Amino acid sequence: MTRDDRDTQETERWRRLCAFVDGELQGREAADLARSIAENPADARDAAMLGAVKGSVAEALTPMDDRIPRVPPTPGARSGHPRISLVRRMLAASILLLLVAGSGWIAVQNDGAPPTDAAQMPPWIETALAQHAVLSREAEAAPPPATRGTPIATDGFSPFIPRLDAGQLHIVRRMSFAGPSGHQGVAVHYRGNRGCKLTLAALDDGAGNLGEALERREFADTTLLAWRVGRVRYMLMASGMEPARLSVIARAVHDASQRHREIDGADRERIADARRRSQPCRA
Amino acid sequence: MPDLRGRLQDQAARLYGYAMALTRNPEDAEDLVQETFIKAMTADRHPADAAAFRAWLFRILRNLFLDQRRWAARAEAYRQAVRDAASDGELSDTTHPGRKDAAAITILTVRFGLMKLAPHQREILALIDVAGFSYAEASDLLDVPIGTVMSRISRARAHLIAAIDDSNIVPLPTRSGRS
Repeated sequence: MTRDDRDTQETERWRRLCAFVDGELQGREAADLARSIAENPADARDAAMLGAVKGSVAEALTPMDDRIPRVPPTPGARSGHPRISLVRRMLAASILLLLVAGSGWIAVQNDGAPPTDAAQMPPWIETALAQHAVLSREAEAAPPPATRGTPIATDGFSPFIPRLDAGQLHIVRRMSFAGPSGHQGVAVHYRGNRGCKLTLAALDDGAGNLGEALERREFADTTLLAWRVGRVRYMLMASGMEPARLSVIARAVHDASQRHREIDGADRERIADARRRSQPCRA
Repeated sequence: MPDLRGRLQDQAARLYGYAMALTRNPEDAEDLVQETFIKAMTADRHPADAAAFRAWLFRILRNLFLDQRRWAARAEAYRQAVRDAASDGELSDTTHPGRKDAAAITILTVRFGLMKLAPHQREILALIDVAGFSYAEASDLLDVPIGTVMSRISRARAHLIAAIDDSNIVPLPTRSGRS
């Protein structure tokens, strides 16, 4: 018998042992192999090993109970008309972005919130929403490799930009910009892998009358949350993200920016948990 | 028969195991399972037969993964995440937190071994060993002959055992005589 013959024979023996362990052999074939395992120590050893490996693979890939993904609430329960509503919302968001990018701002009412008149929109909000729109479009057109949240400094202006990896949101774009009065600004764009778009902009303009607490404004599918830290105006914008999840992220970013330290463990847990409980973003 | 959500939840752990084999990343695996749930829940109809329902779900998950893999940005992000996870030590025992005993070490050893396998080998192991598919069901899902399934599973196990043997973490109690 040649070496090739032996290799072929060994391969076939191994295949049959695998099939036996998987319960794929039937009748006489299964009985013959069972007898061989009983009589042949090499077959017995390999069959035992294959059984152990099979069990270990299952255990290695199966989550503990508390990590088993939960089935989300029925999609229709949220909007009542999931498909039509989703399509309309996506279409509306797209049209808004086109209008915004092309010829100025149109802010529309969202979910009963008071409408924001474009003519009355503060310039700093216009600027911030513009960064969000531009960064979203750039990231959509040419997604770059993810770059993680390294500190950002522009000519001495170094606002705090936290990592949001706990929420599976990674920085994919960053840019500096000029505020309405020429003040320095920095914006970073985070992307998730479920369609979520988030932009954090910081403007070194003294923050005007903006308070230290979070302020929330709604614009079509984009929500803006703003606050001040010292003389820096922070603005967090998200498109299509569930309000509950965005609130958790905003509170964590708000706290981190005030402390000028990365988001702490408890908030990372909350961010991860909020993501698990949320639907993919609709933007 | 339980309602759709109940039927989906029954398959959650197996779907997650399969998704882990495909993505090698707990967060991506969870995403994939969630997307599978949503796709299934918004489908016009779903198989009543249990086996057909399970095969249908796994096919959805597999197609979602393949679609996502074609999305270059996601693929790049995935590679980045794997690199970061490796450097951050996130490939530790995430599905069995807190377990530091011998069993957990064995699981970790097997998981590292799985990481070294080719994607199609991880996939077949997940389908047979985690999801509990028969060779015929796996053949149907993967759209390959049943002989190919037999070859893949036997080679995957041989390679996994070799990878475990080569591991410098801790050897399994039984070592292979195969080279």
